[in-house]
Amino acid sequence: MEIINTRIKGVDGEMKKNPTLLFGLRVNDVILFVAVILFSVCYLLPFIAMVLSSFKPTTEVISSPPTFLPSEWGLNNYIHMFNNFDFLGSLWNTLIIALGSSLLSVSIGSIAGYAVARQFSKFTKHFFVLALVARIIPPVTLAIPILEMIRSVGLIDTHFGLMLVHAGINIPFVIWMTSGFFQDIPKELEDAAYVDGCNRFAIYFKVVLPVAAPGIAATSIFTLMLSWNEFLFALLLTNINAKTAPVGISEFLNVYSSEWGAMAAAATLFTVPILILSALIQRRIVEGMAAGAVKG
Amino acid sequence: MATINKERQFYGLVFTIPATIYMGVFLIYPLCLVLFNSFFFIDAMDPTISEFVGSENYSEVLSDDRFWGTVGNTLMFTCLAVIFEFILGFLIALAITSLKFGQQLARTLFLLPLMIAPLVAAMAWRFIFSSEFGLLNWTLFHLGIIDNPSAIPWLNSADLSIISAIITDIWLTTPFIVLIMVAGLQSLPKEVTEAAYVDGVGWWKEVFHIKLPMLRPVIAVAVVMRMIDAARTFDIIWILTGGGPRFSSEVLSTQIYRTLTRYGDIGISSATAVLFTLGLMLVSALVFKLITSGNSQTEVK
Repeated sequence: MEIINTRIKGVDGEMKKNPTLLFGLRVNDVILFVAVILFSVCYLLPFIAMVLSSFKPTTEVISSPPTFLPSEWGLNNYIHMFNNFDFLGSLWNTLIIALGSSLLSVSIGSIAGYAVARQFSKFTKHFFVLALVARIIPPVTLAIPILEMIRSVGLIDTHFGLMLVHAGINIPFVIWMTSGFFQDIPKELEDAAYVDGCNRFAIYFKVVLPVAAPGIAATSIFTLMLSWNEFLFALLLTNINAKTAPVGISEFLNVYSSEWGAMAAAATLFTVPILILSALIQRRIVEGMAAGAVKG
Repeated sequence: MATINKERQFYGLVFTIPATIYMGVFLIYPLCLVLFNSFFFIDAMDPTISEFVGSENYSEVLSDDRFWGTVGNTLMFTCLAVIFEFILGFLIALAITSLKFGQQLARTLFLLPLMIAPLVAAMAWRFIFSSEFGLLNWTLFHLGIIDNPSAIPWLNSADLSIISAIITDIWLTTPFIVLIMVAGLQSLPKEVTEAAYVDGVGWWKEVFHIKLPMLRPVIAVAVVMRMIDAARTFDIIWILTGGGPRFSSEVLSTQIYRTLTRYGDIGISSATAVLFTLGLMLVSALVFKLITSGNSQTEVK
């Protein structure tokens, strides 16, 4: 240990050649920091360009040569979009469906994730394999029969229909993600409650869930986002009453051919709230995302 | 002990039953139905008219050149996207983890693209790629790389359309690899990297002989997850190119969707879907084995 310490000091000594800036920061570190931040901002340019386009005068959106910054900032595209399309309605549909399907998938999936994490029986092991395999199935494969199923029970173009389907797709994901969080919770608390005579339901709801709340929250954020952004089933199962925002956005360029300005405005309105929200709770999201892969 | 075991088994069943039923109805039953339908001819106008045709749908799909073209596109899309995402993502993650300050800020900035819906990303890139008002061609033109601003038909050429879709996918999901690799790199025991540093191991050696092998399990999960998602891509292709021009950027997801919705051919689209699902399961199991199996050998080195 001593050897390592002295060696590290030696290395530090060499580093002293590197001139220091204010607050004892090294020039190299500052350059690396500026480079990384600059790169990550540039990385967002394709999206930023679209957001800027939404504030351009309508003709400038598709002007050739193109502009990056609006020559004149305005809300024309937004006003035009609100006057001609019921985009707010489809945002509302998206929100309802995302909230409903998240509630459904997280409440059903997390209790199963707990059973998997605690390996209650052989059955739970097989069950987990089933959930993993289910995650591989391409959604488009399920699209064919699910269209038939939803049509036959008369739930086509309803909030409830798409909600059920989104929950179905997300349950394997919820099981997988929550089981990771539950594994991290020490068993001692549960064992103590068990000895005290609590049944497993009481233990799950009163002892485990409160401790696992951050993990459950992270999972809910993901299911919300997956449903909010989902396009394939929304396109297949909704068209007027329950049309979601992604379907609405896709129609600006298909049906009404050249509504680029309105499309940019709608896409901005649809995305920016999510970006702000995710920047605010970024630690949760990053931890959740990393937990799955890093723990394996 | 026996009673505790029985009790555990009972609750194991009770806790997983709602999810089992739900997955049964929305995942397993539909999957069986697809398999069942793939052996039938089903009338597009009146789905009640159906006729058992054995493996006819399969032989029709397998002898169709367009199917193999689509398989080729799907493979190309998946391989190129995942390879570039991994290289780019790993390099960015290395840069972020070597920051002495501001790691959190960099991580947040890279999280943002990940929250953008694939559909919106594809829309944004349609602006960029457009041959009339696209920023990409005009930038290349101003840099003197191409002589006229519509020289590269990113979306309208049969050779380029799939490349444009791959670029969009790389842009959208490299941040996923970045975040996972940052977490992976941060989870490496400090002693190992410090020891390498003290022993004067060079940067390349440290990355390739120490960090990469140690991160193997993380990489396996991340790559397989990305591979599955890339192979299933629908939104980006549908919005960006619609699979065109002349099916040059068609992938399996868009082909199955089109066969189902435009031509109403349930039999053929089911057979294609079955082949797709089986292929994907097989390939992802193989790749996962491949990445994880070399583990012990490299660590001995």
